[in-house]
Order: sequence, then structure tokens, then C-alpha cells
Amino acid sequence: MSVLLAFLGGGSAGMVMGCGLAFNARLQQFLRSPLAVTLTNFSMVFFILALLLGLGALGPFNPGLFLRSPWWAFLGGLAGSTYVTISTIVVMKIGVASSVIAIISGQIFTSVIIDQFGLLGASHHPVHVWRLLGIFFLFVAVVINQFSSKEQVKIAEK
Amino acid sequence: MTASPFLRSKNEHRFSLDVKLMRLKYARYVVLAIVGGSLLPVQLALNTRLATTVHSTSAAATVSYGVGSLALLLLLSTRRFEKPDLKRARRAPWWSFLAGCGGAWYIVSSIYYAAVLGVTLTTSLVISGQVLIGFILDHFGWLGVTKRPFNARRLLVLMFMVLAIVCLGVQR
Repeated sequence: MSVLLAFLGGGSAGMVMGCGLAFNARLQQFLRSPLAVTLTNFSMVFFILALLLGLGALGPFNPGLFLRSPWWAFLGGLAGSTYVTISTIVVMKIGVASSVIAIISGQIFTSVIIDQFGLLGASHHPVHVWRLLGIFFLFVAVVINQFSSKEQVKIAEK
Repeated sequence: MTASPFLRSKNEHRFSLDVKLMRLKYARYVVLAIVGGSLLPVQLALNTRLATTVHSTSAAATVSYGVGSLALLLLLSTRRFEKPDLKRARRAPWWSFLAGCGGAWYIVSSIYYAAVLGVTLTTSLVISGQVLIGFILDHFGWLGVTKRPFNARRLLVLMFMVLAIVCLGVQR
């Protein structure tokens, strides 16, 4: 039962993220600044997480330990904010499904490279045939999607 | 009255050129989306690195989002970018501000579910959820996105996505 709940929960997290893309795209139509949209998004996540952390809902942590991590480990937020800015621009133009498929392809491809070579402090996980096959299918999906009908590939000029 | 065959073929030619141009524009955004997606594992790897020293994934995520917010604030304050239209933003629907709640929900739940189901299965589930909601939102044009109806080609794309997700979810 708890595994079933976990399945639903994991799937729902993805659905919430997909909706988040559309929320950002909608906000962009009014705010007209992808950076400001990303800031709205990021500061909200920051405050919610900081609140939960402060309330102790996310387990204990020792702030002093942050001094021991290398400076570049703090830069994850820069990659994340660049991603959100790009996705806000892209979703408006090509739609949610196509954006999600392209984003996932980039995500999986890079994660395999990071794992393969153990980059950025990640542990070394050599690629296996199933992951390569998965990447191949992702690639096919992106290509088929690219050659969709005129109606599908219309660029929304909003 | 019927149009002359010559005129029709000329129009059809123009039509296909338009579609080609549209596809080219479309491809540009697809490439941009792939680049955007490739930043996600970079963020994940850096956060994981931070989390190993701090012994708390959620504290690392909090700091990561704090750093991101600060960087965006700095960039916006340089005024080199398009000025946000705050007057218009007041007319934005209230729910469009809530993407951050989704982000927080995703982070907290993915930490929790990764512990229960493992990272690979969690990732597969999250990706499935994203693809599913993507097709649904596009089909109905919900949340203000442009309507892009589900059709046979999209079904084929969906099938390949399912295949990909299954392959990526295989444990060694």
C-alpha cells in the first residue's frame, strides 16, 4: 500500500512540475521578463524550504558544515535558474509536451555523461546498454515530434 | 467556380515553405529546451555534492535556491534585461504565481520517494508524470497554453517516451 502511495506521489511530483512550466509561461505573458518569472519561482521555493527547514520538518542540519564544502558546489542554483528561465521562454513557443520531451532528453543525456566520467563530484557509474537504448528512444521521440503537422508546430506568438 | 490548377499549386508551394520555416523556428526552441534540460543534472550533481558535506539534502536544496534567487536579483538589478511589467503582473491570475509551490513539493517529495523507491524509479515516475500532464495540458489548452490536440503522431511520440522511460528504469 505504501509503495502504491509512493508511486502516486512520485508521479504527482512530475505532474506538479509540468503544471509549474505552464504557470511560469502564463506569468511570463503578464510580467514580460523571464528572469523575473524565475525569481518569483525561486524565491517562493526558497522561502517554503527555509520555513520547513526552520520548523524542523526536513530533519536536522548543521549550518557550520556549509563552510566545509567547495565554493563551486554552491553554484547549483545558477544552473537551476538558467534552466527555469529557458523553460519559461520555450514552453510559450512550442507547448508543454514538446518542451518536456526535449528537456528530459537533454537531462538524461547529460546525466549519463556526468555518471560515465564522474564529473562535478558525482561518483563514477559506467553507462549500461539499457540506458543507451533509453536515450535512443528519447531521440526517436524528439525527432518524430519535430516532424509533426503544421498545427502542432505552430509557434505561439504571445 | 474552381481556382486554376496553376494558382493552387503555387499556393501549395508557398504553404510548404511556410511550414518549413515554422519547423526551423520550432527546432530552434527544441534545441534551447534540450540545453535547458542538460543543466538539470548539473544542478543535481552540485546539490548532491553540497548535500554530502552538509548531511542534509533539503538544506542543500534550500541554499541552492537561495543562491539562484540572489543571482537573479543581481542580474535584474543591472537593468540590462527587459524590465518586468509589474503593473500588468497585477492582472495575472493568482495561480500563475504558484509554480514555486510545485517546485518545493517536487523537491521535498523527490527526497522522500528516492529513499522509499530508489533514485531511478523516482526519476522514471517524475518523468512519466511530466510527459502525461504535458500532453493533457496541450490537448485541452488548460492553464492558458496554446491548444495542440492529441493525435496519432503524438501517440507515437508518447509510445516512444514510454519505451525510453522503461529502458531508463531498468536496474542493473
